[in-house]
Amino acid sequence: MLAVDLIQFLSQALFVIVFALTLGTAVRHPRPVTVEIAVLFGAAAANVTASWLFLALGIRQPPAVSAAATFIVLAIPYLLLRLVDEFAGVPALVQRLAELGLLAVIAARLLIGEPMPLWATELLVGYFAVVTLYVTAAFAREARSSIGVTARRLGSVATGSGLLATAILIAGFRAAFPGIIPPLSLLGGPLGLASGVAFYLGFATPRWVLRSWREPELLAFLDGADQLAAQSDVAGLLHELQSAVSGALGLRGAFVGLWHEDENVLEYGATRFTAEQIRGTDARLSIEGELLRTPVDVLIGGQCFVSQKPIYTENVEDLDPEHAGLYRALGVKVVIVAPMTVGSERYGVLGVFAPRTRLFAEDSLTRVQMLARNAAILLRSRRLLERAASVRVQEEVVRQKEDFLSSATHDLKTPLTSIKGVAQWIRRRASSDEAIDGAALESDLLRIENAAARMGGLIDEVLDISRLQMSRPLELQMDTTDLTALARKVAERQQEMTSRHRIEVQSAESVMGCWDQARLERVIDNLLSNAVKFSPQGGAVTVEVERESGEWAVLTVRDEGIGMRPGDAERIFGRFERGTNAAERGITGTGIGLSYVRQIVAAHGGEVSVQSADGAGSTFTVKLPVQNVPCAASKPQSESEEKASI
Amino acid sequence: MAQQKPPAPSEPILVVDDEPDTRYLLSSVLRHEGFQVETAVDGAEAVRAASAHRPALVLLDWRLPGENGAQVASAIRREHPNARFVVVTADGRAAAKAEQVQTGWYLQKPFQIDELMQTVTAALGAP
Repeated sequence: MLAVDLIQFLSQALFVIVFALTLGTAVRHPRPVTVEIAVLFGAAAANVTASWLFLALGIRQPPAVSAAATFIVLAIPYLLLRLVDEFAGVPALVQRLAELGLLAVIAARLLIGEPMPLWATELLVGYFAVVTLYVTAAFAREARSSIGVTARRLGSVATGSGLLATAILIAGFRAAFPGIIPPLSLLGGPLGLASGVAFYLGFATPRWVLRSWREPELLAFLDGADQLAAQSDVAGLLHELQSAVSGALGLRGAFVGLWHEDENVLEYGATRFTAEQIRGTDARLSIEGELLRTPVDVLIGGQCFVSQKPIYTENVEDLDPEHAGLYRALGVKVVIVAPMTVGSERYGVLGVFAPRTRLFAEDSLTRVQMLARNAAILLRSRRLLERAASVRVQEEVVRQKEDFLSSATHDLKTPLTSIKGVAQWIRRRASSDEAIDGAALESDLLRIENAAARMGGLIDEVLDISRLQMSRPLELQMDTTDLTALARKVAERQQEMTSRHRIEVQSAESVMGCWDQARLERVIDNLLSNAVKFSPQGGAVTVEVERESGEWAVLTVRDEGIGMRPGDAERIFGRFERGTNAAERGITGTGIGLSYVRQIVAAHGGEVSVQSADGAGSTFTVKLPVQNVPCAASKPQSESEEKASI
Repeated sequence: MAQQKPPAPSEPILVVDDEPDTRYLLSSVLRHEGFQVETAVDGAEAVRAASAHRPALVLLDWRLPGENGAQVASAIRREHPNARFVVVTADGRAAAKAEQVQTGWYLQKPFQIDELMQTVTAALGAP
């Protein structure tokens, strides 16, 4: 046997093998596409078998058989075109032209008979080559718009048809110029063989090849999904998952439905849907922000979730006719969906959809199942991380509350020490034989009174903070208040507590307004004690009170302390938030003071802000609406009575 | 209750507390009992006073703005190594805090005046 014959035999054998394999696929998944592929290779295989048969019998093919063989070969490009039409659509005009061309060449072959003149041969070759090249281009285009295994399989098919077209063109060339370029005649066989190999890889991809092609797809998915753990909200999570799936499968139409056990609903990322498309189709569907929510057994995803079995359908309306209108509006026809389940833990469903049949969809089923399983594993690790984080958060909340409690207790004990101590001191003197100095007694009693007032203010602050924590509103006790005088009072007291700082109120004029005096005193006290606390080296603490454009009173507190880092300025007004540089310098605190300041100021209809730089001091600015002065009648004292009784 | 008082030392007692009322109370009571008293509002002032007056005893508030008792005590000891300390605190675990200052004496706020006197007497009378 010559090498040429061997090559021819191999390529023929390959076509027969591909036929057997595609026939198997068509039997297992009887769909138009799989059947057409089987028919295509059936044609080639029948031809090959017939030629082998007559070769074995040692007789010449009868003219009728030879003619039939030619027709079958001529039908191959047309069958390929039909296949392209299934997934990419072929314009009707092109289809009609191809059919007319096929009829024309068959008619020519029938009418002219053997041996055909050159022009007739070239007509057959021309028809075959043009249609096959068209098909090649269509497969190549589809391959470019796909990725992963699908792209590789389509690429193989495009290569196969391209090689087939080239082989035919060379045959035509040989017929026109017989013996002119001998090497060309040698090319025909290898081209046929290569074409067979390419079709084999594309249409009947062996398992080991699939595995090696699939690996990058899974890696792409895992790569795309590595942000999953960081996504805190459901919409972000669904978006990440969906784009990872569509990235890995090269399909835009990916969907992920997360199961919410407590409400027993599936939640889909709904960026592709609009509320209008959903409205009126089914009252059980609802769009909330970027999420589509459905009861757990509704839509094709719900069917998959309830059955916990993967679903592949060429036409989703067959399985879920109730929502046919919705599917049509969304361009959903072919659906592959699989449950995201690991062991007995169910997380939802993951799937892809397309408006048209796609080639090799039966392969996609395996891939979707694989991605669904991997997504479930990712979701499970995310859930475990979340659980661990929530335990940490709970511990942190407990710790913060303990800190706050111990700090509040300390703060309360300070005036209590004054009250008890000074009272004892008076009693000691009263019980001794010494005469009591009336002025000293009065001054001591005033100390007790002031300490009791401070203690009352601290208790009110603690009550306010717990009230605000439970989102209960504060009832302000509005009264005509001189902000400058209030600032001076607090400043004088703070000055008595430090030798390193010069605390100065730089405004002389009264700034009157209608405010809750006791609470503003706590606000100023918090700001000034912070100014002292956060300037451990000492320095000036300057307070200014101004009337701004008639409507607003502005109080600023400026220190020369450690300041704060960029980014801390907004954060520090949050509950339990502290400047990042405070802890590093060993400055303790609970992170409550400024959040209280902000809330009291906000309750007055004002705002507080800070300007600061790391190491360059801070300036806090409190803006308060002046409102009408004098104040409207104060509210009844119910709240302070309530506090007194606690 | 008759207390057994050691004679008041010639060196003063230094009261370190940021709270004006506490400074007033401690210094008034101690002066009334015949002691000399100096006061300081924070660590910096305490160190200056300690080096100027060489106090026999320092009543040291634990929680001062920006510093704690242990830091202030070691700064004072650098100037005046023989100083004795009584730690005064409103926080719990006063004994542990006293240990950090290497002293056995402490007062838990709010305190009784009798307790104050007993503690001061004991601290001064100790060998």
